[in-house]
Amino acid sequence: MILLLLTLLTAPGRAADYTNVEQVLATFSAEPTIAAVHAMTMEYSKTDNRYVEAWLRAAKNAAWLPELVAQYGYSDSLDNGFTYQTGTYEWDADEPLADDIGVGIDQDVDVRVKWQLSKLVMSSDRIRVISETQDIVKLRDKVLEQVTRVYFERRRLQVEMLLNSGDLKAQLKNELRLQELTAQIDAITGGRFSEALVKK
Amino acid sequence: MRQTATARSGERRGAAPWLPAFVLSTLLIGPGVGPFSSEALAAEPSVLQGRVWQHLAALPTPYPLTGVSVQPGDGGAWLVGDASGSVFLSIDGGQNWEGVLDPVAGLSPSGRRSLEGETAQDTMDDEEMLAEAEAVEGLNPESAASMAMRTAREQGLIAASARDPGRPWWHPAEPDIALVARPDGIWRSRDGGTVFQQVWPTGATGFALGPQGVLIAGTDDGVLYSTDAGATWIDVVDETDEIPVNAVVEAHGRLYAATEMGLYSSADGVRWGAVAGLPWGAVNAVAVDPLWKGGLWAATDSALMRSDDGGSNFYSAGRQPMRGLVGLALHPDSGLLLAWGADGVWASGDGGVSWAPHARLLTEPDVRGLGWIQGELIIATASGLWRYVAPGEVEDLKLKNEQYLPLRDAVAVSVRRPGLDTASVALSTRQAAARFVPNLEMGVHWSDQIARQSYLIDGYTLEPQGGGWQVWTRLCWGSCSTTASYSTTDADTIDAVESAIADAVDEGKTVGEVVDEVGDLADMSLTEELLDATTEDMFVTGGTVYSADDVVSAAANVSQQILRYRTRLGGDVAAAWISRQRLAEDRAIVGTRSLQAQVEHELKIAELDARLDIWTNGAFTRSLTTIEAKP
Repeated sequence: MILLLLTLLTAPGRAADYTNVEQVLATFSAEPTIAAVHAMTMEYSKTDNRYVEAWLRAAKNAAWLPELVAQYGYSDSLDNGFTYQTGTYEWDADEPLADDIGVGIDQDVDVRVKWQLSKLVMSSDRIRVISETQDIVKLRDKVLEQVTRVYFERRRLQVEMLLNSGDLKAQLKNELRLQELTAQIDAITGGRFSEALVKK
Repeated sequence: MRQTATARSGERRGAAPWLPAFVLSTLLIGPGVGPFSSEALAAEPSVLQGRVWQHLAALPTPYPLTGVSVQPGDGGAWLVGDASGSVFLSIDGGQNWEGVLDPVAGLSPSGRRSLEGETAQDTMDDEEMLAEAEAVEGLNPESAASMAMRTAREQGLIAASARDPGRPWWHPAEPDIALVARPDGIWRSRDGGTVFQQVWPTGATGFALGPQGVLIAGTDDGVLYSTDAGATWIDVVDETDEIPVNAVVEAHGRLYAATEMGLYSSADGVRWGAVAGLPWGAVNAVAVDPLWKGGLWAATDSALMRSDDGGSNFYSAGRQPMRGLVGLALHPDSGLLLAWGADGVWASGDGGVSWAPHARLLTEPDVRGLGWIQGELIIATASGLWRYVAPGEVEDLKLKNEQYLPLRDAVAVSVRRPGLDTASVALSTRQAAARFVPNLEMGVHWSDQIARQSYLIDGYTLEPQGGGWQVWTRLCWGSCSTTASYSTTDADTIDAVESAIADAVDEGKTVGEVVDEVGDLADMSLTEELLDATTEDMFVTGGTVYSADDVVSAAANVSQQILRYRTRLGGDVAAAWISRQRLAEDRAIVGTRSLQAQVEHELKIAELDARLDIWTNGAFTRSLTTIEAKP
């Protein structure tokens, strides 16, 4: 409340000090412009055009990437052949005699790439992305229109306070309303608007 | 019977040339008329198109001006009268003025209204006044409006009737002769307006040149005629006796007198008869249609009336009544029908069916007299004399001549933003075409076989036995390979689950709902396997589940959503652009108002600029350039 009263007591200028429109509007030149507020809004809501363009580009270009399958095979085999001989005497028992040994080592590499060329034309993924980007555009338009409306409502109030200060009660009411509108803009910009006000 | 349309006081029509004519037009039927549209406005001749009103240097009088007349031929002298009956002469195009007639004795006119005062339009819109008039029993709306107008005149709030004092008139055939109609009689000058002499002792209101050079004068007591260029006047007994005459005009060899008791006509200026077709009430002005035999326009207090048969029948010439008209005339160069009165100057190019206001920079709409010099309009108003000029002729014009993105381009930019462009719209067509595009598969295979064989294990060598490279390419439509494996051979269960999944998809259920629904039919692993196989090509968009076969439908739905938004967006952009243009045009008029009103006006324009920037990604403001108005 003390801050509020101080704000009112230190209000700049009087209506009689202003003779034309440019002088009045120049009073607010230190505040962020509506273009800057739009930029803050889009950044906070992640609805900037660059996100939309990036998604659309990625969805379109993803089809250029093939499906890659790489396979490596290795096998090591041992094949041991024995020959069995049967003797006529008792001491000629059956004993295996190594006849041949085969060792095999095989390895193979298989690489396959597959393009779904139909996806270069259109795909369900791209349809999904386009649908989402459309929603993003609508959301961005809606949010920006809202912040524009609030911004100019705030500016009109500032002009009213500048040119017609009124009694203390009216000043208090206007100042509270001004803070309310500032807070609304902050809600849409993630606090960036007030930060910019403080910096300047 | 003509259908009528459009145009009303207070409406300002900005140029919107790209909008289809049907949006702004109403089909009309009747002679000499056409559809009212922005194209019609754009077709106005250069004498009126794009012009602005310039307030000329104030005359040496504190009273509202009541009439203006320009000398025909090369003389070009101007005569202007005011509410006191005084008349002033200028021979240098309105730069300097000399009083040539003193005020009428006994008149007490109200002072001239300032440029910022309440206008006649404000009074005409006074609902209380109209309601009070309508409360009089038996009055129809037209009569009520007429009564309201008279009340306002009596209170001095709006223009007096067409019978304002101090109305000068130049003889069209003898340029040195000028006449002035005043409450104290007729005054005549034969030296170009320098010296006037009274030639008739009782109140007069206007003049016209009749057949065979006969001059006609309207007075408070009927009509007079003169055969000697106004030097002497003759009053004969006729039907107009004791009837105040507001105006007289001549066309096609016939004379018409607009009076407080209706319309009268005469073939010779001597014998007059009432024109029966008009309802009871005063007629302030009358004009004759040069292109339609028997065509007449008559301005009353409450409406502009039209007759196609010489006055036997009249009907309202506009969709809404044009109230407070005090004068009608046909522009000599363009043939436009001009009307003026308490609501400014209006012009019609289609015979009075539709009207366009001409009010740029005109801060005082109470127009009491109109004339022209070389086709250029001059008006006498409650706040002085105004001339309709090209914008470049106005010094110190407080106009911002701006150039910015045309409406067509603004709409085009807005609907071509990423996410809304045509590539995003033609989804179903592209998706349908995608089905015919094959898949391309390429592969490389390398193998190496090594084998060794020996009879005794005492050493070995590795010897390559074979191997090599293979490169292959394959094109296939649809899926190049399909694998499906189930962990159970229960074919009936598989069929039941597959059927349940298909039904659920057709009903638009989500994947989770499908799993829950079929979970009881088989064990979870089977359900999940089947779901995986069935849903491999399914996807969700816009809250709806689509299978691989429904991708075209999905594309069509998304395209429709985009198109709907684009259509609505185009309308929003057009509305904002047109509003912005109108506000910009009103800048100079607003410049005469309070500082806060001017600031509010600029903020409105700035807000519209910001909204247009939203839809055009900032292109509108980037295109905005201000050109200094030429002195």
